[in-house]
Amino acid sequence: MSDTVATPGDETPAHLTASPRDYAALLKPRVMSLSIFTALAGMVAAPGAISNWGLAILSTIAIALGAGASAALNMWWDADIDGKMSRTAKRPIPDGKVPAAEAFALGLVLSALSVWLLALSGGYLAAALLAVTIGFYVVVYSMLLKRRTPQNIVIGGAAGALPPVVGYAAVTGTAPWEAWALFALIFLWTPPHFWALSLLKKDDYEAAGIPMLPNVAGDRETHNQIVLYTIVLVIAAPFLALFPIAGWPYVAASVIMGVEFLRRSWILRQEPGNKAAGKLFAFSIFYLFALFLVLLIEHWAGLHG
Amino acid sequence: MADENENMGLRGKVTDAFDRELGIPVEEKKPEPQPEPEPEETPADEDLQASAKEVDPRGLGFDDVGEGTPTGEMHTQTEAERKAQNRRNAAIAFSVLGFVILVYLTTFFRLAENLKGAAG
Repeated sequence: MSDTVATPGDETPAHLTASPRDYAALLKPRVMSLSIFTALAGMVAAPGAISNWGLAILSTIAIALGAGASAALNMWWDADIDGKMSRTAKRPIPDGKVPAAEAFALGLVLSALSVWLLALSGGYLAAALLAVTIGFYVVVYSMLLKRRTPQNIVIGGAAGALPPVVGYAAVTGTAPWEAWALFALIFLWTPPHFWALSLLKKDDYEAAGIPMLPNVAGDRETHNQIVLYTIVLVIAAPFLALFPIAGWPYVAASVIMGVEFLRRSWILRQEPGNKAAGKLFAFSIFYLFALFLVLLIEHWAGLHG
Repeated sequence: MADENENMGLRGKVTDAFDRELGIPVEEKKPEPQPEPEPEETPADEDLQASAKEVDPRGLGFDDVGEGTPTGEMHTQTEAERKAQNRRNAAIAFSVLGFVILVYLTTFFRLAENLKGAAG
């Protein structure tokens, strides 16, 4: 069937020439990769060697699909505000490449399939936790918090912090305190990371009417909150070694990196500006990546616990 | 009642035909002006937009309530559109195939683990 009902106008609507890549962009591949990485760290950090790598890899794929599903649902819900922000205006929905309803359908189908696949490969607890992660990100963060309160990313950060717990549960069938310690690490890291970004994109958030902290409370208060949360993070991070999931290399890395994180947040407070905010934002990504990498390496080297 | 009127009409036509055959002048009846059939009501764009607003006040993708309304306009796909559609179709097919393989592998690994557990 080569004929379709046309839409008015001579120009070809963008969605008629959309490529699979446009649909893949709905899944926020970069955010997905961070979820995969932290979930993998949760799996590896779990006590005992992974007995079945095949199932672990399949569970990781399921978690990645779940992360992509929640991203597609988030883009569907936020399509109106994404179009108003320079950072997100070129996303597939505001750009006209993917109809919002198709993004919604893709998100729902992927959510169901990812939870189902994880139930088969990683067990029901992991699948339930993945379902909670998707639901929390879409309903609690995107629909309820994001447009209402400057605490959006503080509470909503729980969704981004859950993947290591899901990973841990996928290989052990349990979610004990040490898994939630990994959750706490990402949960405490999220506010300074996102507030640094929101300082850089303040005008965007203003245009879209999103009440991020710098828009509501001002830059000064945001700098103070960043320093405050960084202090809590830097103090809390080494305590992961109290559980048998981290060893001395992790403690050393968390202290050294924590001091640098705190220094950069203090510089932002003393010399405010986009340059300092940008440096802090970039370092925050490196900080989390490095800490989880150390966790992975020390587990492979047998130095944990 | 309707049948009776129809019969009367038919009878009138038959007698008129006989009268003409017999050379009796027949009063030609002008056909009664029929009321023009009302055009099928298609919702105006404004109505569609108004109802779309009701369905989806934030315009999140459910604003295509008029999508199913035939407009009579047809559009032949351009080469670029056809190629893009083929690429999307292929991507859907490979995705479905990939997912089937994932489920197959999961079942395989799970069964292997259970067999190993039962044996050991």
